Amino acid sequence: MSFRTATTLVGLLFISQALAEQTAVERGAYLLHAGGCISCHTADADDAVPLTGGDALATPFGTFYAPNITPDKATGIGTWSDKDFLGAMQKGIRPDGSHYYPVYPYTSYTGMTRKDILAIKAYLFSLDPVMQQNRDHDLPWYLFSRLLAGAWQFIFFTPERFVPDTNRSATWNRGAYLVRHLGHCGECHTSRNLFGATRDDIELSGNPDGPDGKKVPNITPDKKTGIGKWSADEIIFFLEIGMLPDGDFTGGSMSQVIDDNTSQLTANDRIAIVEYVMNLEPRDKAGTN
Amino acid sequence: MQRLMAETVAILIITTCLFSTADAAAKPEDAIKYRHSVMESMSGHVNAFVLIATNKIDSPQYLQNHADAIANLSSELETLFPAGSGQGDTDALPAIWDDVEKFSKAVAKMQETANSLQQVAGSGDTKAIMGAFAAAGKSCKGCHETFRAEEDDDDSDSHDHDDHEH
Repeated sequence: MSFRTATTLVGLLFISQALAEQTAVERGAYLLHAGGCISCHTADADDAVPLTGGDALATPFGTFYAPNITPDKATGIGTWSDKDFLGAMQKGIRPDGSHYYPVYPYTSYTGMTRKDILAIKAYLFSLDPVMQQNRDHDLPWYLFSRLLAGAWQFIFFTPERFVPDTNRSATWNRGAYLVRHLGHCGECHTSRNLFGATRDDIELSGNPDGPDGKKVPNITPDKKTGIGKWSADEIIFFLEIGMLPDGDFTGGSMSQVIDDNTSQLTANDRIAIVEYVMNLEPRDKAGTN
Repeated sequence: MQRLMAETVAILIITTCLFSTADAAAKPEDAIKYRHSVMESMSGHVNAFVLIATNKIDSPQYLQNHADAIANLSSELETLFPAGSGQGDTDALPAIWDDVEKFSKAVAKMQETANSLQQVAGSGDTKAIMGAFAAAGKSCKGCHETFRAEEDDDDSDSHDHDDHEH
């Protein structure tokens, strides 16, 4: 092999590697939106730098502050390996081996593919590191130890990847992946048991105790208490710009979800979400059929 | 006689003025009712606008009407929230009166985006129209996010449910 061919080959190798990295970063940017990361990890203030840590999130189990996830080595995730990041997203385990509180939706993210998770990491690591100290959570005395988070995990959580249902369409499966895992819709729209685990048996039928003490609506296709009267177009339009079928516009935390997540998706992904949601079991407010 | 007439007229004018000044501050329940009427008109025009803009209703000649109405109604926003109208049958949050500067900013944003929508509505450029509409919608959402309680009718509903159990 001549020297020239060799250098060309090496050059090509670098170029293709650069291209592959670029796609991972781009994919990661998209998935970060689909994963709703921005809403919690960014403060509300107009001058807040995205992903440097969020505002207080009040839950029945205490007040939480989502941490800085920019690649700052001291205060962000700059020292994390791929394994650390996968452990956090799929298993709810911190790089030091202790456990996350389930307010961080790893219970949903666990279904994500390794490839998607690492694309998000690639994107996060392409950002400017921002030094911003994390705020401690404000928790009741019985939750001060993360050991309890570990016990909770042992009882209520099984890490498992999403497995497509071959009896359903590709669109439905994409929707299931987006709704159940990336978009973690159930974290707010599904009610929880006494211990804060989402009740997947009554998936998305509404939650009387949502974040900040707010009620979160039923989004199953129940005609009376859910969104059974909405057309597919109306749901798509809602996800795109936040308009309800009566011409009103949503407020509250869904407004942020529209801005940071669902409006940023491709039209096909919004269609997939609608396909999934419209095929849910219709349930009334109490979660019964 | 003429002087008496003039005096009577003057007194009448003065009393009328006095009464109408006293009337200028509407009762909270009327202010709330009026606010709801304007907001409902707004959502009616918004819906009509979307139906035409997305070609579900073939009446492009009326698109401008609805955009004009949205802009006109937006211009009323600031006066829809008089002091005292946060109490009663309303989802308006205290933040409206506690953070006047932020609220005015949100209202100004709504008016600005509604005016842009009005400008572009007759252009026939679907992309520009829907872009302007999305921007206006974002202002609606932004304001509702901070200044409106979201647990409206849903709340009373669930209590009803409990009551009927007995």
